[in-house]
Amino acid sequence: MELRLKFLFIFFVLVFIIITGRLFYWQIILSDRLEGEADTQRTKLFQIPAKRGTIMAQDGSLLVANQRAYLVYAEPRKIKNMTNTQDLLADILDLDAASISGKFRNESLAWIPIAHKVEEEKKQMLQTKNLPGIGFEEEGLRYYPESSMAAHILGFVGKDAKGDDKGYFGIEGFYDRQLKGRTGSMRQETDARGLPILIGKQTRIEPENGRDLILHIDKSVQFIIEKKLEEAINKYGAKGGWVVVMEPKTGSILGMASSPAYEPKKYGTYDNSLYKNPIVAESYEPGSTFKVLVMGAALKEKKVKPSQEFIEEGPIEIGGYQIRTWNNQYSGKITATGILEKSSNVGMVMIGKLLGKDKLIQYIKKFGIDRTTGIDLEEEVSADLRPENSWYDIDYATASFGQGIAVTAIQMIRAVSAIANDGILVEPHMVKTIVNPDGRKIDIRPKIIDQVISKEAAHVLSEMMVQAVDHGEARYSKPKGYKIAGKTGTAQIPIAGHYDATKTIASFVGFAPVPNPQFVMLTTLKEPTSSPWGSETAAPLFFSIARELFSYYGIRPSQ
Amino acid sequence: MKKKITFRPILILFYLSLAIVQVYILNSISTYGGKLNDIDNEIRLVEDNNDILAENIASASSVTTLYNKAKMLGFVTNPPVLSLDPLPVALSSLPSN
Repeated sequence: MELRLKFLFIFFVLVFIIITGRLFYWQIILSDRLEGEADTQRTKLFQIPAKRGTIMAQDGSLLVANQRAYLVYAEPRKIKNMTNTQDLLADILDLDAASISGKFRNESLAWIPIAHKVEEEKKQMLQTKNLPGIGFEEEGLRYYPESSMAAHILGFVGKDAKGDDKGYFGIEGFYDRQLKGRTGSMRQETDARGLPILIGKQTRIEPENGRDLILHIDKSVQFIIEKKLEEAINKYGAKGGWVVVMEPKTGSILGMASSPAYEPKKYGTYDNSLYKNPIVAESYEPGSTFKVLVMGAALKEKKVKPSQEFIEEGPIEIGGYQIRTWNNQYSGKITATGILEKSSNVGMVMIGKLLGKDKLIQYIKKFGIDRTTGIDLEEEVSADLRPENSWYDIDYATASFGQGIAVTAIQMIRAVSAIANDGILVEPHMVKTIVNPDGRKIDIRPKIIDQVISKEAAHVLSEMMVQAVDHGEARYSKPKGYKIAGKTGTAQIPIAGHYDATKTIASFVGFAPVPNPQFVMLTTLKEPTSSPWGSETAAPLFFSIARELFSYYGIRPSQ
Repeated sequence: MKKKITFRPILILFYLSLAIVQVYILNSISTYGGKLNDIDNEIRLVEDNNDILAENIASASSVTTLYNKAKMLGFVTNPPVLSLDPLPVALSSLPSN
């Protein structure tokens, strides 16, 4: 009897130990895992996406806004009819049915993304089909009310390596961190149906929406220059071109157009060589437009006066090379103003010699030609200026008339704007105001870089440039009654160590009205075929746009 | 002899009634999650509609749309500019008395 009792006691102790051990295993050893699984079952975690900031024109109207879009995903294990589902998805989303089928057959995947950035309309069409195993997650999609206007200014939004939205090129790229904001999240206790339990645990991290940007861009000016540029490219048979309009006192970019461009909404369907804005990312030899900078330097250094006479009787020989005028005509006696009017290369070599080699390089740097301008666009570059110890006499000579030296369009217009702005060089800027999600506005103030030439030299040079327009080759297309300062440029294109005899970059840079210019503008046409000359292509484009701008800004004729 | 008043039954009754009220309130709001979901969906729908309207306004007021409409209505760009300053003045050549 005692033995049986002992066995029974031992049996109960053993059972007790086993149960305790098992409880220890489930409640202590596996507690974290089970707690996590329970948490997953009864709580729902979802992201609250932050709205990407909008981009607006000067008047507050939208250039880039946000549209609701969706990621369409599939959970293959929940799909009842694979063939029907894949066909409907392919039909509505305009995808290849075979690629969807391939994804569905991958049994290791429980969740498959089918399509990103699906618009509301297509999402509604899919929802009405009530397809089991197909779900939607909200995503942002950029929307462009003005379609492809200002594409190179704006850039586009693509994906980074992690699959998150990221801005590329232009404003979207430069201000990506300001625009993207920060995603929020909410963790909420839910019941068996997935509905929120009000008295349950809830933790919420509010999303921080991106900042909005207001640009200096005037939509009307942008529309005008884009339209005129396309017309000019067609008329003069050019490969492309660009136009920049800037406010000389503040550096505000009022309009910036380049062609060929692309449509930011469908950026993936374009060649990626089109993404970069050539105005800030492509360098070219400026040709005769550069002469105004060298002349400005010589005036500032008091090496030349507008009425000072020079002897120009034929080509000039420098370092074994012959420098001619563009039309091989020589004036005999020519004033400094006449050198600009007739765009004489020989005359400019003489001016350059008076200025001196060291001063020439010094002023090239003062005008900002050796560095980026600091404009708030992502892809800005600057061509390197050769080290001074590698400059030969011919290099100084050709630089004085804008060959053998490379600039970007933004460098060129910024440099000329100093002439229009009493000799003061400013930093060009796209964004006028940053608007915080809470409504607080941060104005971007104009930035003065340097007093490059004196006010007097700038005023004298402006008058010389007015004479160059009134009496130069471009005089026939100039609007009557207005004082416009400007300079034509026709630069040959260097290819494989020599200059192409037939292809040019034709440009015109100027500002108006003189005095108190309200805008400075650069127009450039690449390889025009109807005529290679800036006076016959880029200048008429400039004046055609200027006419519209005079009317738009209510600028009265002064002559 | 005075009867002693005990608070114990009153307290027990009070606690019981609080418990009943709590159960009643918790039970009532247990289904509010569904209502909250419905309200959230309504808000989303209104927000969606607002977004669509904002898009339509932005498209309708785009420069390209306005330009094309104006062209259709017969407006022209760049009308000829006539400056009236200085005004031409007719001078009398007769001597004044």
